[in-house]
Parts: sequence; C-alpha cells; structure tokens
Amino acid sequence: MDLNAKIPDGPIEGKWDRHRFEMKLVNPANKRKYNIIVVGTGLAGASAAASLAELGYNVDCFCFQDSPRRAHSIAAQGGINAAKNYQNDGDSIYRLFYDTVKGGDFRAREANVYRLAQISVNIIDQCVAQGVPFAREYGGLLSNRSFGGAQVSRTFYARGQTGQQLLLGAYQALERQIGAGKVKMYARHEMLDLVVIDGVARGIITRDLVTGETRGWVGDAVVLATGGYGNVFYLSTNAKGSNVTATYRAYKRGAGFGNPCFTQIHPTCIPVSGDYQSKLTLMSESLRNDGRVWVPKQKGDTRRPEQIPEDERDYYLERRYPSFGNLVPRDVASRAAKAVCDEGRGVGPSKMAVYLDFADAVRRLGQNVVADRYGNLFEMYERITGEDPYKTPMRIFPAVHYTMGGLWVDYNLMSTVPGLHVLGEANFSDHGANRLGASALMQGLADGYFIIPYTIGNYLAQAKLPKITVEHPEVQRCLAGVRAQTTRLLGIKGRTTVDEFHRELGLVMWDYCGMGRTAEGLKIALQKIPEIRARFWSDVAVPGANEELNPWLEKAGRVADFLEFGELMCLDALERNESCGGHFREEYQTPDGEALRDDANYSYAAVWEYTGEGSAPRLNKEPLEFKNVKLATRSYA
Amino acid sequence: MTDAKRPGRLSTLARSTIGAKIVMATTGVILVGFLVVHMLGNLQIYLGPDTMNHYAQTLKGTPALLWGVRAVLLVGLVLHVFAAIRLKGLNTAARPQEYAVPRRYRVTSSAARFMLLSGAVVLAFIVYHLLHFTVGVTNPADFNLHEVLDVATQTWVRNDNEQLLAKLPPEMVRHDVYSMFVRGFTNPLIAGTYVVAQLLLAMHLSHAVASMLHTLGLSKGTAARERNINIGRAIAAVVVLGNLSFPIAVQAGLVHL
Amino acid sequence: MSKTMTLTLQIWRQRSANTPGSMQTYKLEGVNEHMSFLEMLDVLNAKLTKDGQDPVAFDHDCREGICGSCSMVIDGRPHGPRKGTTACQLHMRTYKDGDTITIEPWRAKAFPVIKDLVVDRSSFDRIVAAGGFVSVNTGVTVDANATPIGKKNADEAMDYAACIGCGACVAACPNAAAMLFTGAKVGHLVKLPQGQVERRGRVLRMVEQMDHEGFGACTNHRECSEACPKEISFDAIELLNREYMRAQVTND
Repeated sequence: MDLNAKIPDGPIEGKWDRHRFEMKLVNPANKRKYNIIVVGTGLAGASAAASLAELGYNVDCFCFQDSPRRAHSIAAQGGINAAKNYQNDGDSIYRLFYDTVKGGDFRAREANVYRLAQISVNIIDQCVAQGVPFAREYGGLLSNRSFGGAQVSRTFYARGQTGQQLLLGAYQALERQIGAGKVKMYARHEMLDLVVIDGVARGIITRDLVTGETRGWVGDAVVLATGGYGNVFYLSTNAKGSNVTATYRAYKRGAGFGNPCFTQIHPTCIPVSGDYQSKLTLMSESLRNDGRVWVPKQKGDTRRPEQIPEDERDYYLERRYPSFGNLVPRDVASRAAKAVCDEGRGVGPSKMAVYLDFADAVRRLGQNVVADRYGNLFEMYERITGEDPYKTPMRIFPAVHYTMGGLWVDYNLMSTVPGLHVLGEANFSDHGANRLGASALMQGLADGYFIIPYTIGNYLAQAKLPKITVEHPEVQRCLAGVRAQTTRLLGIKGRTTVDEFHRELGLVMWDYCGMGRTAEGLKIALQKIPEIRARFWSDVAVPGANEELNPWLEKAGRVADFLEFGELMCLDALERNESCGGHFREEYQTPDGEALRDDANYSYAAVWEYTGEGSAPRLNKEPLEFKNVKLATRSYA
Repeated sequence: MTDAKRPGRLSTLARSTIGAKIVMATTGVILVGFLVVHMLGNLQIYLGPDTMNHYAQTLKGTPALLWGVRAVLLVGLVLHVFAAIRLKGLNTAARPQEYAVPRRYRVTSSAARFMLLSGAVVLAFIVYHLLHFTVGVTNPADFNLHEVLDVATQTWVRNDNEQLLAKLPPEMVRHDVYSMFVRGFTNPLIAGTYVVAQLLLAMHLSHAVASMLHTLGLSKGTAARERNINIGRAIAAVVVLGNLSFPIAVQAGLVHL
Repeated sequence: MSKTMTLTLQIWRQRSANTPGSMQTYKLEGVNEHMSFLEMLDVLNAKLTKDGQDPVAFDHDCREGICGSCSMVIDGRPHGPRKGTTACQLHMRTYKDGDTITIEPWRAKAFPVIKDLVVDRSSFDRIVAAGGFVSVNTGVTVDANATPIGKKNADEAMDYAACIGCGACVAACPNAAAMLFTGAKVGHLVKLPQGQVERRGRVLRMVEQMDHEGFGACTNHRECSEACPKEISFDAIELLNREYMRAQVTND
C-alpha cells in the first residue's frame, strides 16, 4: 500500500501556498465536463459539493437523511476554532497548530494540521459572508469563548447551536447550487458500495431508501464525507443514522483505514438512565468554562449534592490539573471521571456520573448571565432528566462522541484508492489521537470549502479517465453484490432484532475498547465480535421488504458493517502498545495515571489494508515526523 | 440572482398567497372603518327623529361622496369575498387529508377557525340589510315614509301623500329614516335577525381586526401582537354593542315613534 | 425507582404513499418514565418485530432536538404536549399509567406521507433553494470583523435561524401554511447586512416557491409559533408580510 502523504517541501508555513501554486488547474471551460460524486451533506460534504459546483463541476450529491440539512454536523453545539486573535490574547496560526498537534498527542501529520490552522481564518470570513449569525459583542464585533485544551479564547459560536448554523450556511450554499442546476441532490439515498475500475474510484452504488431501488452512479471522482463511526458503540452522541458503511465498504474496495482505534470519549454527556437507552446526549464542552466538576471525597456518599459541604467535595480536575483546571482536553477529563467512578465515588442512581456544578457561576455572574450563555443547554438537560441545573448540579459522564480514525488520506485528501477523496470526520487526518473541542467543525469546513476544491482539480487535471457508463461490468458486479446482501439480510428471518445485536456489540466495544483498554480485554473482544457476527447472520430479524421504506433493512446493513469494523478497531487498539490521546492502554500509564506514549515505536499512523473475507487485514505504517513541534509528554498540570 | 429570473410585481402579488392575504387585510381595513362610521352615525337615533333624518338627508345631499363611498365599499367587499373564497380554496387544498384525531389547538379561537362561515352569514345579512333599509324591497311599507318641510314653522312633518310628495321640490322632502328604523325593529323577527347577525359579525371582527393588523405587519413583537388582539376585540365589541343597541332599544321601547 | 406504565397507542399505519392508511391500536406494557418518546416507540417496534408484525416507520436521527427529523402529531399536537420540545426530547414522565396516546404523521399536501409516520418534506428544501441564501461563492476575503453587526440584530437573526425545518408549523397550522418556516429564513437573512443585497428577490422567489409547493395561506391563527419546538416567534410571519409588501414597491 502506497502511503506517500505527498507533503510539499519547504518550511511548514509555506507548504500550502507553494502547493497551491504547483497544483495543476482545470480550465474553467473544462470543469463542466467533469462529474463529481459527493456522499454526505454535513459540513464537509455540503461545503465541498457547493464549492465544487461554484467552480463549474457537475456534482451528484447523496445523503441518507430526508434533507441535506439534517446531517449530524447540525448537532455540534459549542463552536469553531479559528486563529483570528481577535481577543489579542496571544493566539496565532502557529499556536492553534501547536495546540492541535499537542492536543492530538502527537499522532497527527504536522503539515495537515498547520494548513488547518491557516485555513481556520478564512472559514470565519466565509461563514460570516454567508450570513451565519455568530455571537457578537455590543460593539458589533465577533465574540469568542475558550474551550478545552487551549489557553486562549479562539472559539466562535452561535449560541449552543454553532454546528447547526454552520451547516445551514453550507446547506444554503448547496441549495443555491441545486437551484442553479449545478448539483443534483439525492436525499434518502444510501451509499452501499464504491465502484473501483482499473484501480481508480469511478462510482458508487446507492439504494433509494424510499423505493428500494439500487442503482449505480459513475463519475470522475468520488468524495466521501460520511462522518464518523462512533455508533459502533451503539450508545454514543452520534445521530442514530450515523454509520461506518460508506467508509468501511470503501475500505473493502482498497482504501486504507487509518487509526481506527482512535475514538474520542466526550466528558460532558448526560448519563445513561436505563437499558432502553437509544442514544446519549452531549452537553457542550463550553459548560466547563463556568461549571466546576466534582465528586464527594468519601466513597459511597449517598447525600444529596447540596448537603455535601465544600470541604468534603473533591474538585478533582482543579486539584490534578491546576493550570487548565476544568478545561483540560476531553480525553484527560473523561479518564479522570472514569477514575473517580471506578474508585466508587461516582454519583447519581447508577454511580456512573460526576457533578458539573454551576452554583459558583450563578453566584459570581448571576443567573441571567448563566442563562444567557447556557440557557438552551440547561433546558435540554431539564427536559431529559427532569432536574433543574440552576438548583442542583448536573450529572455528567463521558460518552463516545467522535472518531479521529478514518480513511487514510494524503495531503490532497485522497485515499489510497486514486480518485477517492475523503473529507471531515470520515478521514483520519488532522486530530491525531484526540481532537480538541471546536476543531471538528473547523476541519470539516476547511476540507470542504478550501482544500478539496484545489486538490480535486489537481487530480482531475492529471488523471487519465476513460469514459464509462453504469453499464460497465464492474458497476454491474457491485450492484449484484449489494442486491445479494439485501436479499440475504431479508431472507434470514431470525428472532433477534438488529438493535439487540447492535447493543450487544456496543457493550463489548465499550467494555474492552472504550475509555480504558488492555491487551487481555481486546483479545476477549476479538473473540466475542466474530461470535456475535455469526449469530447475526443466522438469527437477525429484518422485517419488511426491499421495495419500500424499510428502516430496519437500512439498520441491518449498517450493523453488519459495524460487526466487522469493530474487530478492526480492536485489532488496531491491540497492536498499538502505548497510550496516546483517546487511546488509553491501561498497561501504559505514568504512576499518576496519565497516558504514556511510546514515540520510539509508535510514532506512526496505522493504516489497515483489507485482504479479503476471512483473511486478517494487513497493517501498513505512515511514519510521523515532528519537525516543528517538539515531541513532549502532554502536561496540563 | 440572475436578471432573467427577476419576478415581476403585480402579477406575483395577484397570484400569491400573501397577495390574497394583503387584499383581505386592506379591504378589511376599509370595511371595518365603514362599520365604525356606520355605527357612530346610527347612534344619532338616540337624538331623536330630526337629527337622524337630517343626517340621512345630508348624506343623500352629497351624492358624489355617497356614491364614491358606496363604490369603494362595493369593490372592497367584492374583493374581500373573492379573496376569502380563494384563500379557503387554497387552504382546503393544502391539506387534502384531514387528521384522523381532532387536533388540540393552543391559541387560535373558534372565531378564527370559522371566519368563512361567519363571513358568509354576515354577507347574507348585508344583502338583506341593503334590501331592507337601503333599497326597500323587503318591507316597502316601512321604507316609503317621508317628511315634508312645513315652510311656516320650518319643521319637518310626516306626510305620506304620494301625489303631494311628487309635486314638491326635492329639498322640501326627506326620507323618514327614523320611522323606518323604529318600525323595522318593532317586528321581533326582524330585530332577532339583526341581533343574530350582529353576534356573528362580532365573531368575525374579533379575529378580523387583529388579523389584518398582523397581515399588514403592524404587530411587531409579542407584546404588540397581544395589544393588537385586544384592540381588535375592543373594536369588534364597540361596533357590535352599538349596533345591537338599536333593535334592543326599539324592542324595549326606549326608542319609539 | 423509576415507574413503569402501560399505554394504549393509536398509530397511523400506511404502507406506502398510494395505499390508504388507518389508525391501529397497540397495547404497550412496561414503559419506563425516563424513556424518551422515541425510545418508547423503539420498544413497541422491537415487540412488533418479535411478533412478526410490521414495525412503525418514523423519521428520527439526532434524538437531541436539533436535526428536525422527527415529525409526529401526538394527541393532536405536533411533537406532543410540551412547549418548545421536539418529539425526541419528550419523555414518558409526561404520561401516566393507562393513558391512550394517538400518533399521526404531519398532514399537508406539500408533505405527502411516504410510510406510516414518515413524510416527504423536500418542499422545504426547494423553498430554500429558491432564495434562502446569500449568493457568495467560496473564497471570500473580507475579514469577518470588517462589518460590525449590532448585537440586537445578530441576536434576532439567530432567533430566526434557529429553525430546524421540522415542519411542525405546517402540521399545526389549520391551513397547512409554511409561512413561519419561510418567514424565519427571510427574517434570518434580512436582519444581517449580508442579506440586504438580495432582499427583494429573495422574498419574492421564496414565497412563489412556497405557493407552488401547495402550502396554504396564513390566516393568523398563530398555532405555528406555539407548536414550534424552537419557539420561533410569530414575528417571522409579520416580517415575511412586510418584506413581501416592501418588495412590491422597491428595487434591489
């Protein structure tokens, strides 16, 4: 597997500019001769589809939701980072770059991260021009807040709905192109296979989720922006529909999968309340700006939080990490919460929760200011739990939130399959082993608005692409494969629901490949997953037929992929004998419980190559070089 | 925006739903304005026959104004009814299949939901009212009442001698509106009809006035909207209470020949 | 301990767009008070699947009240009884043991039923495509802080932009009108300097598309803003009317 990242030469500050100059261009009149397939309409997909259409390319765009506006980017709450330094607090492109590489625990590619930090500045300009209603100060200028893993205020936000507003900006740009006829939008279409012809990605197979029609599509390049795979854990903050199918099926067609075990556990989610639970709800990390995290000092303390006096509370984040306090990065905050719960100091009915307390903030700022900053989050908490966070502390617990791993891409965002480009959370590129808060939106939009429009031109200008149609035998072969799987799923007629299998897989993943991992546990998981998978294929109950709207058939296909993909994650986690970022191998930790990296042996991106059904995937390595940021043990103390 | 797709003005207004709403609202303003003036004018019944008949005489004495207003009202009413029927058609078509379970409304009123019904009754009433008091078709005996100017005393005296009336110059004859009014409402059936129609008018106006203010975009903010809703109800109440007082006063014998 | 309850559910079942549907009754036991409304339906669907019956199709995705997928009229009210709450954020503690709950899809010509509780809301997308955007291509180089925007205007723009496009306004409207949705987008953009240039054409084209889709006309019932899970103010409609009238007498 060729893992040449194609990083441009020269000093890091000039790489992207130089590359932009050196890239080949497609003549404006020729752009309309190219057809680009974009799958997914979140921040990355919508911004890419819109920008490519603006340039003149013909775009076929697909999403499984009923409208492109519903992609899960919409749920991001807190904000988007940009090195604008509007606050004059010492921010710079270099500092954002440095924070992101460090926050990612030195497992990201420097050149990509530097470019991300550079582009961050343009994103804000672009979004404001589109009419994204960012929060503003009384003087009319943009407001910022601080976020985990940074000591500067560089996060732009739109109340607690930043993802929604950014997505609506991209969606509106996309709808504009749909109205202009440059983008053909296919909603309620799910991508079920990638068509690779002569080693080049040339199309996809979709199923129309309303009619059940499977269809092949061909184009000159394929762009996947299909998000992350956090739902492999069943319970996560992802939308119910979020899945790994598009990227996993691309993996099976030859795209290398980078660092699948790198998952992010978000520290501030509403705890699980029962086994009927279908998803977890995140409370924005911005809450940690003013909320204080604590548990009782005593084990098994059953008093109500108000009854616990100040000196019997353990503000463990402030105690362990005095300089970052409650604003340590997500992985650190999550592990610390798990640690206190494992000690028996957890709170709430399940004892798997910690308090996030706003009493001090209300005293210091007044309830109005707190309501202004977090009102909608407090309301959401109240709706879900029936408790009022102005009166009693919130109970929070970590939950799976984001996946840093994804399809491997080079500097041009192209996977190991030529022509297949991967954007946003679906790729592995920028966040290393841990993503900082408010950086996902930044990356999605950077990829879609400002990187792919250049790099795809560079690809198309050089690629030799013979004309093909959907009648091509390879398209037909892929179609037949997809149809066969559908028929097989519908034919099992077992007794166990798809959700039951999914939940079972999720528990295995959470127990053995979650916040803490051990070689022993991962080996157990690697035994259990194939066993669940075997039962799935003999006993799953998929009601209904293909030729209708059938959400259970959709779900069954996705869970079938998770059942294979979970194994790949565990394999990757087992192979990486170190702790870094969100990947915490309990065997590798410092005496005070911090992640212990092994830079000598594991300073690489693990890229997995599919070798066929029943055959073990092959590990390839892209070595990571750190020339600009000194490798160091992360310290937030 | 490409210039080719620049939408035109009146054509879009006439076709659009908002255009229909604007027609409803602007004609509504005219009609409500008339109702207020009409009610206030009729209050003169309480000042006795001379005032009332003089008022009627004055109106008839300025035909340009009278017919101008009538023309505006007629056009307004026709457009109002036309737009209402059009909106009803659009709104019925917009939900071809009703909910299987009746909906639980939160803020709307029966008045708002049955505007077309109350409007239809009010329209029928207007036709009847015109036939009754303006054209004199339904009760010609009540309608054909006149007063003649007694030149000696400079007072108006009832005189129904048709031959005399025909001979006199027009400025010496006037319509005895007061008597027509009283005799009309002496009939309990007619009085009852007017009361019922006024109640439906009250219902219609209680939504209509606020609605036209909303449609014209004059209720910025919740507080202003609540205020306009109350203003609307107040106007409806004043108009209808004033109007209701007439048949009731006659029936109660407070106003008599 | 959390309480459990037994419920009677009456749900609209319709196999496809072209087959007639009807209300069907189901009894569901062991519903936990902490479940969300959709989790309650998950439990029903698991039971139906196990019993060899067709489960109930409904749209849902984020289950945290922001994607706007969920779309069901619960006991005669879009998204159910709680104000400012989507169906996915409605929790069963709102109900008590023995309750009967009715569930229907949105009903509007412009939202045809696809199956059971799932409707096609692509008409909303087409209204946005008609003009609900600022025509800027990617690559803006004007600094984001070059044009200050007063906090009040920015906040009002955000109030309107909070719309999640769920369609509850249409479902709640006795006339199946989409003016709250359309007005919210017009309002979002008109409150910002970036939205001024295309101000006239935007409202004309969006209203034209809205009408073309077969939505009804607002007659000021104000049910839409009451049903809106994001509590978008009825001001959106008044603003839409004003903008529409303004567009009749101005040029951009």
